[in-house]
Amino acid sequence: MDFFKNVATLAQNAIESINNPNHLTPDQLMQEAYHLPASEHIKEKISAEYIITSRVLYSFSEGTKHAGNYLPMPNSVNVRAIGELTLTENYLLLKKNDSAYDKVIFHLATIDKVQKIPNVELVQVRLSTHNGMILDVLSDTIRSKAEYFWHIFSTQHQAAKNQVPKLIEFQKGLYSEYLISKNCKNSKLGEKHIDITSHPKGGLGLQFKFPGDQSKEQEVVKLKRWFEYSRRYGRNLELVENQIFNSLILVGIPNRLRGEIWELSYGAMYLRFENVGEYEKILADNSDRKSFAIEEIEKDLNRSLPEYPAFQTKEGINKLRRVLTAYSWKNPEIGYCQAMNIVVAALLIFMTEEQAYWTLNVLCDKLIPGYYSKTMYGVLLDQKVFEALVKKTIPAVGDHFVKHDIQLSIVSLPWFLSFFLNTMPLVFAFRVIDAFFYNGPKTLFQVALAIIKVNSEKLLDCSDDGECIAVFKEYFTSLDEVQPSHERLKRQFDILWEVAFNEFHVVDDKVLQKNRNAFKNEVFQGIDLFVKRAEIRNLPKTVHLTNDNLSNIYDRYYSKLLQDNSAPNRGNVSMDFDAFKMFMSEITVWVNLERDTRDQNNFLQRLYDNWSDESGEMHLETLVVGLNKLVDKDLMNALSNFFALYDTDKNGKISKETVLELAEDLIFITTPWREGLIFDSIANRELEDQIAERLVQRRQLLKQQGVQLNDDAEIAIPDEVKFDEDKWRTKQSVRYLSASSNFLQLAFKYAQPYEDPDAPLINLEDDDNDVSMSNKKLDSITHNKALDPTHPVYITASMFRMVILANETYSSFFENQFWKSFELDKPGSMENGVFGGMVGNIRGMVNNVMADGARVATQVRKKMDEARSRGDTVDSIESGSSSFELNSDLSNFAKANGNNRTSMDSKGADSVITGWTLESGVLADNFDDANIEDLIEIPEEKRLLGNSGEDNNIEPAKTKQETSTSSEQNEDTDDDDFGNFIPAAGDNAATGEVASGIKDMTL
Amino acid sequence: MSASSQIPVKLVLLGEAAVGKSSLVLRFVSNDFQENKEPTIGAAFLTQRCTIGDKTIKFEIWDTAGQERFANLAHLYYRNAQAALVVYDVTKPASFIKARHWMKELKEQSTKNIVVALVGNKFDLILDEETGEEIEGARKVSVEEGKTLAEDEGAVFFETSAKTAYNVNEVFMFIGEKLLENLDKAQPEETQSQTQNNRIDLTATPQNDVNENACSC
Repeated sequence: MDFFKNVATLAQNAIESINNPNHLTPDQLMQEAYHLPASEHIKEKISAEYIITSRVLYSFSEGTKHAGNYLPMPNSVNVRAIGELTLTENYLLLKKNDSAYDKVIFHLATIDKVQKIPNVELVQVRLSTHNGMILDVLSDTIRSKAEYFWHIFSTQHQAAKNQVPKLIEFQKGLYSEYLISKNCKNSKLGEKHIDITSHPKGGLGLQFKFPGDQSKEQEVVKLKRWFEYSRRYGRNLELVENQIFNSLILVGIPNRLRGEIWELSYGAMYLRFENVGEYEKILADNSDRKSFAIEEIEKDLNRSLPEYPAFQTKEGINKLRRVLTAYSWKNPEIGYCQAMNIVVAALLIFMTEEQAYWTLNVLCDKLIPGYYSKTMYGVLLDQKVFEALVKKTIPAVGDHFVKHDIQLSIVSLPWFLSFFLNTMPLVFAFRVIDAFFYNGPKTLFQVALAIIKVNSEKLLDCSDDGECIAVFKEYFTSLDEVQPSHERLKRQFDILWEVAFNEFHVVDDKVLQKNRNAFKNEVFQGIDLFVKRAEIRNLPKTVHLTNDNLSNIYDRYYSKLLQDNSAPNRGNVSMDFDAFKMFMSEITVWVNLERDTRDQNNFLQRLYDNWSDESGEMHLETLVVGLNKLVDKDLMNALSNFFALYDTDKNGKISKETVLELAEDLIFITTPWREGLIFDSIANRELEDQIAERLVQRRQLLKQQGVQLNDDAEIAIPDEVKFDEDKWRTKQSVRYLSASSNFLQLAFKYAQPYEDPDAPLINLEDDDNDVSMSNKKLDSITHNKALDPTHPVYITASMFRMVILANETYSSFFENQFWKSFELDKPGSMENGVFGGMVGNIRGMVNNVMADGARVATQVRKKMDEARSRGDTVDSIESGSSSFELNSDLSNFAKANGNNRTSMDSKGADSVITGWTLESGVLADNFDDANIEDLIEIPEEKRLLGNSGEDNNIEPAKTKQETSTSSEQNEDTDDDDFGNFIPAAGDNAATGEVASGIKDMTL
Repeated sequence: MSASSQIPVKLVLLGEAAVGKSSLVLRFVSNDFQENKEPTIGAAFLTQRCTIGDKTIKFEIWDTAGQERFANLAHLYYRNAQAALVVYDVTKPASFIKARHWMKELKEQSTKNIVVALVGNKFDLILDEETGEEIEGARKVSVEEGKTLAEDEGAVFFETSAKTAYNVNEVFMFIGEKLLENLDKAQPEETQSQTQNNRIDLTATPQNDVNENACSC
């Protein structure tokens, strides 16, 4: 499951960057604390004492005018505090030490004047804003540091000045400015403001009424308070936040200001100010494009808050369409998720399209990352967290749910996804959203926990999901009802509100982070498994690939992609050529990334092009379809499929140029065999035959020496075979070289000119089939008349098949080696960097010496019978065997085999002899028998040393297991006729315990 | 009606977005139809009782969200389901492909012996309102395709219209009958297979049916 862990880790990082302050850079922490865009960075930072003087408050205190004081007077007209002063590219930020509420966020363009106040002890600077706020900063740090800060400040401030017109234009569109402008025209309190004559654009509510029956009086009272706050402490891009700001939000934002406060609370407004015009541009740039997300959006446009009148009109629907579409272009990873339609519809009641667009951005990126993603991991994770929190904070209910197998998460999921918009009456959901934008995601948990808490008695009576849902349904419809609480009459919603923020304030960001960390692996693994299962199920049918094969291919495919793509989303991710090369190097023996040759790239490019879709992209689906064809075990199909790789125009013919490419590719893919790194089935067979012959000779010899052998007993197979590897390699190499030249020669001989479709397929008179053609002769083919450019020729699939079949080596290659050269049974693992070590070291792949022990035994029996019937003498056999007297460097051989076992183990039949050579574990470095002339050799000391582990430690567990089983077999063998052998031949063998049987053999 | 005589049946609706899953449920439960029903977020839960022969079935219906990404969550809902409606839109070929996937998913992952109905909804869209005949070319998924898929996966096939109520009750009634039938067949093995969750225990005697006793409805 390493792969899944890896996916989880990558996805985790995405979440962690938001949830885990420990992983954040100082810049990110600052952006988080002030909800500023990622484009703002800390320029300078000092600690300072600051005094904010509000002209309005000052005027109040002078007693000039108390009317219009809709908020209680504070104790002081100044805000005086010690805190941290931060300067970024565009903002001056202040945060009071040890306070969650008190902070100041001024866009530099809002600062009108900067004065240095003479002060002997401290550096004191007075800033005056356009709106009449005065900020005195007394830096208690080292003078030079403070002066440096103000020096940098002054540079930044100068640079921001050209943003003033943009700022004014921006502010003209804000309701808070309109409110001030309208109500302060004749005010003498000293506040300054922009003159705004026309009502700024806002949400659909201005035209279609705001949902709910909030009375006009209530709205006016609330507006007056916000008006008061704005003139005292500033607004939008020039804001002093304090506890009052928080409480004004918690009692409910007035409808007209709601949109602006929502976008201000979590910083969407800063994004919008920085990117004025992006919304219109993204729509214009993509106006002609279609996408799957757009299709999905269209389906839901008519069903987003359909009961709200504006969304029964074209105007409302179009707004919704534009915002959702723009966002789907902005963030294709998310595209569109159902629930976004409801959320955006709600936003649009209070906001302009552009405001809604940026607010949606902030929602998806910062507030609830992963909620609307393609796997929805964020919301799934939070359901786990929620269930855990219920167990912890309301254990009676939590235990009850466990006992009755009630899955709370299936009930709560919609609450979190749409912020109660589709569960609570809208007016109450808006209240939740007010708090949610200001306090962040913990609000959703606090409210949800409070819902469980106030309903616990009823929930304890429920015995299944359905009954719980009924309880909640009833509760949500009664939120408006009044009921006695603590000797007072209270609205259900107000009770909920108190419980949420009084009892569950402990559920803060830290608690959330801790719980998210605890569950994320579980959630990601669940998602991964699901995604994998679904994707594999949806792949086209592949008869030659098992489900396990597909699962392994899937893992490798995505692990390759994950190396450069940290997105936890899957599905339809295309694989580029480099990733494909890596992928292929892991699953085949003939792709070697260390040898990045032109031939290799050519062939892989051909596969890549063949296995890509019309738009040239390779997907898991197209890859699997392609692979499925190459691993077809049927020789005729295999040849046709291989031919089809070259027949790109699908006319059944390939031109001579392509034939040349095909020939080169054949040389390339047969590299491990041509270089003798792997023995093919022809070589294996020959070896088997010789081993068999040698066994027969040995028996003859022993018989001659008077040893009693039972011819009817089972033939024991030697545990070890020594042979002159180089010689066999060379032999096979020659065979492959000649096969390649033979192929070209025949292919061109049978090639047919395009002009003459009636020409015979085969020129039977031509008898030139010299297979030992040298490379020089290969070159001479270029002078072949078939290559004459004036006579273009082609070959067909059937000609290709015929040419291959005419060549023993190539036809055997396609019949026995090629389809087996794909390593698809081995699960992918990210542990070792490069998967499985399949290639990397092709020299370490000397391998399979002999395929089939049983076949050797049969051969022995056959030869024994033949010898008996012929009455052959030992002498004749001996002379016959002399040609196989080959020596080999055994220690190399052992090493090579050791490596090879790791890579070839799961490949099955191809490497069996290596298997039984090594399984007994007799090979060792000091076993040098280069001089052994004897036919039989029994190196029992090897067994005693038992040092196989040293050579084979690459895969200890498996080898050990096999070793034990095979040594059991050996014991069995020892008990039958070979046990009767007497170590008569040679001194080496005469050391005593030889009777344990034949363990080795030299060829 | 006495609650204790009811047989609870958990039924789940699956299918692509906007094929009419919620509308089928609304029609079955309230005999109502809404033109622009809000998309289901996560899932909705509704119940409906119906009487078949001398037995009363209480359908506990999980109506799931159709959008692809919500498929991640579907297993939460079809967990322990005894019946499923896989719904597609007869005018949307893509929704039929999705239905095929759901059929496979159910086969692999759901309760054994789950009763599945394949439902081609929005049948009204292919009918000419005046003549009542099928409009040429309006239908994009043929009856044969539907039938074949249903047969391949051992499901029953219906074409319905939540709007006109055509065949809607029939689907649910058929499923109810089928479940009762299975119930009779399964009686002998009941004891060994019904262990943990008494909700699956269709054969429980009313006295033992804890759920229904607890519920006062």
